[in-house]
Amino acid sequence: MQGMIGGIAAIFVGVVLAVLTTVGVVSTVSSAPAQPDQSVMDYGTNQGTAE
Amino acid sequence: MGERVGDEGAQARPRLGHRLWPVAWSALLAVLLLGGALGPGYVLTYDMVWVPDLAMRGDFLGLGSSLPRAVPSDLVVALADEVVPGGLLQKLLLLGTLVLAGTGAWRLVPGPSLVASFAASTLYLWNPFVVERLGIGHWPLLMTYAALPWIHLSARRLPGDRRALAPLVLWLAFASLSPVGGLVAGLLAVTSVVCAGRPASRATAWTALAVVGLNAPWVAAGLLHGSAAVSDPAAVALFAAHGEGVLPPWAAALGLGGIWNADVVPTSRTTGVALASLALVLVTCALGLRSWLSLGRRSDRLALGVVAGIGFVVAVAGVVAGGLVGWLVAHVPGAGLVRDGTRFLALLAPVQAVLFGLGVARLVRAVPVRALALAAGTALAVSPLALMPDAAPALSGRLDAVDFPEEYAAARRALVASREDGHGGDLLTLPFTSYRRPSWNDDRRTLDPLGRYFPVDYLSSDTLVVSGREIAGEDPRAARVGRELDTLDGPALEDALAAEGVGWVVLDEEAADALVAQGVDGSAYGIGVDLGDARRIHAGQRLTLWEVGPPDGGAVVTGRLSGPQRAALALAWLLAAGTLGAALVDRLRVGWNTSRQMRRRA
Repeated sequence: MQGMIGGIAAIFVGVVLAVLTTVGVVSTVSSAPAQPDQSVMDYGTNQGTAE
Repeated sequence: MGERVGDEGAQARPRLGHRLWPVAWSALLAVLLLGGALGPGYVLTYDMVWVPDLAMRGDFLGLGSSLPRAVPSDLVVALADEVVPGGLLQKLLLLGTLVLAGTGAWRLVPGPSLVASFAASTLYLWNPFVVERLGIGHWPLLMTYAALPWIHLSARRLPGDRRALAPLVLWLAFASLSPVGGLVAGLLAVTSVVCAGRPASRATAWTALAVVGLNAPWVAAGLLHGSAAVSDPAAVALFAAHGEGVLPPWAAALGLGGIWNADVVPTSRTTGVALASLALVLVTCALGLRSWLSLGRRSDRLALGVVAGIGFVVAVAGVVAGGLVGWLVAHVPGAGLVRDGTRFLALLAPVQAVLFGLGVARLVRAVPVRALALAAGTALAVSPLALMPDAAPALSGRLDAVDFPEEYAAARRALVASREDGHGGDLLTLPFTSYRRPSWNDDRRTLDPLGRYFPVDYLSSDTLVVSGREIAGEDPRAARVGRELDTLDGPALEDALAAEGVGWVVLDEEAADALVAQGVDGSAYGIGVDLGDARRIHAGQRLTLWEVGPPDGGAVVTGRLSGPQRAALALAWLLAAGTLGAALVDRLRVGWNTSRQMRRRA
């Protein structure tokens, strides 16, 4: 029983670590440069993001 | 841990609990990924265009004048949505595809480690390939991707167990709804059989025959289009693998990304996070290599390794050997299939998922403190999500479902009424450009949906524009009509269109206005089309629909298939249907015999 509780707690810690990583990535993403503007006709763009 | 089907020599069925884990986890990830795409309505993104009722028509069989890019996927959807409504069918298909991908990767991992399977399944479902192909709407390719683990598991059994042929053929059919999908699936199936480690000449022959049979429709339709089956070599550079953020094209491809279209790349991939993600995946895969050498079969390593190598080489070929690929595309019919080479990265994903899973499991084993090992293993196993969180939900809203404007249904009814009055021919969609950004689709880019929305064969532009550069299409009829729209007007244009077999013309007013607002000449692309006395059968805010030509539709169209060509195409469809039908009958027979034996034992 004790082992199971310890296991669940450890998994919870792992999930918290992943969530913290996610928060860090989301804050990086929110400050990332925007995609370049495209023409109405464009299928897509093979140009990089606009700085 | 219980034995799994994918284990060496394991034939016993896993317990129910262990069969539910992969489904539950994959379903959770799939729902997170699809998000608003599972809401009411239809997802329209780039090449993914679903409509309420996709009506059956000749072009879906490969009879049209354009290359059979949507053969047989459109046919399958047109048949299936007679049973399940289009919107629901799309959601079921997207969700089912992702769940199959995750559960397949789970089973592919050798050994008893649950954490290995858990991590493999996560990476296989949550990686740049899946996200970018969802974004660009390549759902048939994602079906191929989902089927790859299952194809390998069936194919490797085939040399020793003839009963594996039927499941293998059924998985191949599931995976072969597009030309590239058929190639990718066929390559893996044949390689897995050849590498299975037993004398396999008969099994290889059967597998190859099944691949040929299932892909016969698009192969035949493509061959019958002759010179149109070659493509503009300029497209190779535009569709080549593309760097993502700090990653050069080859490194982006190694991380299962690198799609040509920067617009569908998640923002997280354009930052330094992409480098961290690639480093983490590669180091973990390297750690998993030793486990794969000891736990896995040599035949698995050989088969999955060979196809992974091929997939990576094709993916970066447009970058490292653009001239050669350009020559192939311009001179060899069908070689245009490799111009968007990163589609073949699907072949790299299975081996990467297996190695990643085994690497995570090895790290967990290496940590002496159990609690610490579990925490680290959990964090690592879900790291693909943590490092690309903007894939959820629905690619940050890019896949949210929308409804078609009510006016579309009114225009469709007008066309149906006209057809019932005896008018015939194809529908020409204007403006004569391929893609739209409708306001009702939240300004998100989509292939012109009108062609599929209306219930008749259609003619639309097949010229692509990438970053302002035009890539010529392959359909000679579309090229002629494009010239006629530029040079003719009034009755002369109406006659010319009728001679091309056009019976109706529909103009998307919003798309036309958007082009004019962007400075495009109002007389180009049929924006301000003048059809003389052609009868207007619908005039609304969004759409205008005209009847063109004589009441019985257009005149004879040149460039369509002749009688013998149609017979050859019919033969190809019979071959595909026969292959699929035989596999279905065999599978049902085996299932029936098994259940009868179980009843006897009971």
